[in-house]
Parts: sequence; C-alpha cells; structure tokens
Amino acid sequence: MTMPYDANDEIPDDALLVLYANGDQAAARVLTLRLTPKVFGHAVRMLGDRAEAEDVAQEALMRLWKIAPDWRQGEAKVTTWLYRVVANLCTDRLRKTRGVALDAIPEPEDDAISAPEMLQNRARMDALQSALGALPTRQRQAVILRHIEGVSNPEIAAIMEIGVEAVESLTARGKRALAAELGKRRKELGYSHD
Amino acid sequence: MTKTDRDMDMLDDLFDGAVSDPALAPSPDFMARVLADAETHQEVMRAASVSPDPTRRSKGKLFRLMHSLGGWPTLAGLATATIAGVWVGFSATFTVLPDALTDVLGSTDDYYLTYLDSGYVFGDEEG
Repeated sequence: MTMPYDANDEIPDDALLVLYANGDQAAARVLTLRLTPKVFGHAVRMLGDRAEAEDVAQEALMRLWKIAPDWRQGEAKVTTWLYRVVANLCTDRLRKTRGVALDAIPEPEDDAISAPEMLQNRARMDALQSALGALPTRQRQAVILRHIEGVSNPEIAAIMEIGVEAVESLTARGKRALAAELGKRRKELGYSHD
Repeated sequence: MTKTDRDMDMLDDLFDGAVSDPALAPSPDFMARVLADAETHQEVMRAASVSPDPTRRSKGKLFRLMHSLGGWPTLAGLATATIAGVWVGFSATFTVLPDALTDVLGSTDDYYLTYLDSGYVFGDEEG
C-alpha cells in the first residue's frame, strides 16, 4: 500500500486540525500523513522498539483527534504538543521497563541487506541507536529532537518545559557522551582513524 | 584535528544518516490504522453534533430565560439585591418618611378617614 505525498504543505497543522474537527476528511488524511512519521520516528528513537513505538504514536495521535474540537488556533504548535505527549508516554514506558537493555533493538526490516554498503549503513544506524539508548532519558530526548528531528532549541524548550540554556546543556552533554561512546567503534563502523 | 573533533564529525555524519533512515519510517499498515482512528473519531464527532442525545430532556423556557440572563450566578445576585432592597425599605420607614405618614404606619392608635377630610362627614350629622 502506497500513500500519496502530502500535497498541502502550505496549510499549517493547526488550521488542518480545525478543518478536521469540522469534519473535513482530507484534513484527516493530510494530518495523518504529515504527523505520523514524526511521532513514530521519535517514539522509535526514544524506545528502541517498533511495536512499542507504534502503540505510543497511535495513542498520542488519538489524543490529538480527541482534543481537535477544543484546539485554539494560533496558541500552540501542534507538533510541540504532540512531541510533549509522546515524550510523556515514552517516559512512562521507560519507567516500567527500566532494566531492559535498550540496545536490544530488533533488526529493522530491510530487503536490501545483501549490499555491503547497506549493511554498513545499517550497522552505523544500529550503533547510533544503541548509544542513544544508553543516554539518560532527558539527554536522549533533547539530542533526538535537535539533531535528528531538526527541532529548534526554543521549541525543544517548550516541549520539555525547560529553558533554552538547559536544552543547550542537555544536547551538548548528550553529544559528547555519544561521540565518546561511538568513537570507540570508529573502525568497526567504517570510519578512518585520520 | 583532534580525536574528539573527528568523533564529533563522525557523529554529525551518523545524525545525517539517521534523519533519512528508511528503517524508521512507519509501516503502511500502521499508517492505515492511524488514519482509520482519525476517520472513526471524526464520524463519532459528526454523529454527536448532528443527532442530540434522546435521553436528555430538552431545556425549558425558564432554563433558557435564566441562561440568557447569565445563569445561576446572575440570578443569585438578583435575589440578594431584591431581599436587600426590601429590608432597606422597611428599616428606613421611620427615619425617611414624613412624620404624619410615620405616625399612621407606626402608631397603634386607630385612625379614620374622617380625621383627614371633612368631606367624609356623614350628612345626617350635619343636621
């Protein structure tokens, strides 16, 4: 099943949410296509488990559909609200499963694993995910949002309900820890020593 | 370039790869489930807005009048103001009203209209 591309990039999320609450079916489709990859990707990065990430993403989006009639357009960014909900749901799950190795990530489905380059890319992504999983939860959340999701520091501050300086501190410490950990595996990951 | 710098460069390269990592894309089945949730909830909202709940009684005229005035808080204020007005009216009777009227209202003696106007005197008394 192939989903069509989002052809309504110019319509803001909050305007689409109002349309959705008014019964616009196209708005439901565009919001789903636009937001689900973000929410799911963030949940996978946080949890390291696709099945759990699907549960979290589905729950977060269901909460969005339910709050749609009461959404106040222009007051808050939909993505900020969603990332916050996802973060809370992930934190709850991580608390419950504390002690479970976060680097025990199931192999992602990939039909092209026969190519050496693809294998190396896969090994690199797995190594990054493993190192992310070893970070404290707040550092992991900040690093993922800033360096993988591409969210701005002020928006991360709003999502995590902390100051911008605290975000900068979390991302800096997280990056240093990741670099130190992954630096031990340079050769294994195909990076030169020079 | 120090080892730390090289490791930071490597990390940036890994981040770049992670941004477009196809393994983190949601599956089509999952996308379909989310869309089904959205459409189902939209139907529920539409049904709720179109057909009123038959188990709920319709609002009466008194309720609508009360609602148009501002609801219970406004009515409570009105009632308080009314009671206060009545109390002020009665308590001020003996200090504000003219003496003659105060006497009429406050005295225990009996008064008759004939005291006020000679026109009330009966004709047979004249002659």
